[in-house]
Amino acid sequence: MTNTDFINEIEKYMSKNILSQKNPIASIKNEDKILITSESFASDKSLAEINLISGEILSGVPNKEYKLHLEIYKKRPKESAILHSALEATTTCSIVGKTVYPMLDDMAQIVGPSAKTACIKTKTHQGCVKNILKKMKGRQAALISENGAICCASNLDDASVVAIVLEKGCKTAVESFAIGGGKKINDLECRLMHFVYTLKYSKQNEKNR
Amino acid sequence: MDINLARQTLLDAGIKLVNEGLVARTWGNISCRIDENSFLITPSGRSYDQLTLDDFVLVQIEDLSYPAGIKPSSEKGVHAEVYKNRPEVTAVIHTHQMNASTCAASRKDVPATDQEFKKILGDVVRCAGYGLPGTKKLKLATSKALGDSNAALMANHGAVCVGKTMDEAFLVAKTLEKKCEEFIFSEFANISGIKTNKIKNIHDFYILKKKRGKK
Ligand SMILES: [Zn+2]
Repeated sequence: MTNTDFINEIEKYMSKNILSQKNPIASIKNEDKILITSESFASDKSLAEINLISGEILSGVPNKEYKLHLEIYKKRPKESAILHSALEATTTCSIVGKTVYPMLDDMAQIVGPSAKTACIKTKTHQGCVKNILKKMKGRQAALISENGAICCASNLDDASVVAIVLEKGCKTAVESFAIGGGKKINDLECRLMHFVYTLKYSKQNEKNR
Repeated sequence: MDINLARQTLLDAGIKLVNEGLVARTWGNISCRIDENSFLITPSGRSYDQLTLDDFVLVQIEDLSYPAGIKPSSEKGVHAEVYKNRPEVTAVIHTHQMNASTCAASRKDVPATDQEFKKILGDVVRCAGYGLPGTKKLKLATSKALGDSNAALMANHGAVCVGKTMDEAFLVAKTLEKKCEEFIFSEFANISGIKTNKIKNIHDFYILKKKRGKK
């Protein structure tokens, strides 16, 4: 993906409110480098480039969250794209701070058996990064306390799907509360669905290579 | 229905459903009855905007068999069960539409509130028991909940809408979404005392209640 393509995609996600209008945060991995939105992306559409191995900033001024993205790529080699979702229901659930359990099959399949909230104050701190990685284990996303969610996948489009499906899961949790509460799907069945989906998807990718 | 007409009907319906926000990406599926033994359905894992006339798959109602090549939707069993039990139905739409999914997540039946509801959806839209996607349990539960009505919710999953024509099934899906939204707001007014049609009010209420520790 070229820088221009990446910028176009970021703008598309901003227009759909997947990414924050004020501080959009997205990154992609390209071999041993990552490309990430800069601190000033909202005003100047600038990107920054970072060496994945050394963490050296090769160009631009990366968003403050870049160390978290670096760690995710290092610890989870299958991921190649990260979006920091700012969607409405996702943000509502991140404010509440409780774990969101799947009430829809989609969420179990694509996000995983739950979306946990990582309690952090400074994302650049090593301990906080560790906490987020721990909450994401076996899942494609984690809610960030009062600050939306981190969503990752093997490509940018799939990361946006994770964000959309997580939003639907959060929206269901919030709005079913208004009609007396939603019913969670059994944990074992959630894990089974996520496992089958991941397996099916990796096979499909293998076939399409 | 003539198979070529069915292909065009499915292609058009897919675009219409995407434009209405009732389906998206590869989620949900639609089918048309061809005759008493078979139906044509959307393929598995393909985006609606990328479909062509040749992508739809002919599936046998009795044994769910289909020709080698493109794989049909994994929910073909739900469609087959409807065609088997409802000879007058010629179109089935399965969606993951938002408001119906929210009601399905609460596993609640949605009762009729007005004439429009009764005329298009019947006296009640029942919610089927839960079954994992693609399973016999799901197709049997959905068919039972549908009975002789035009729509059913699928627990923790979405909805199935049927019609004597594709236009009719489409109207059912659209009306269901609207009526489920009304149901959410009216139930919300009952539990919170807040009469609103703004989602933000529900979100604020949720934050307030959950932050106070209410489970
Ligand atoms: Zn479905």
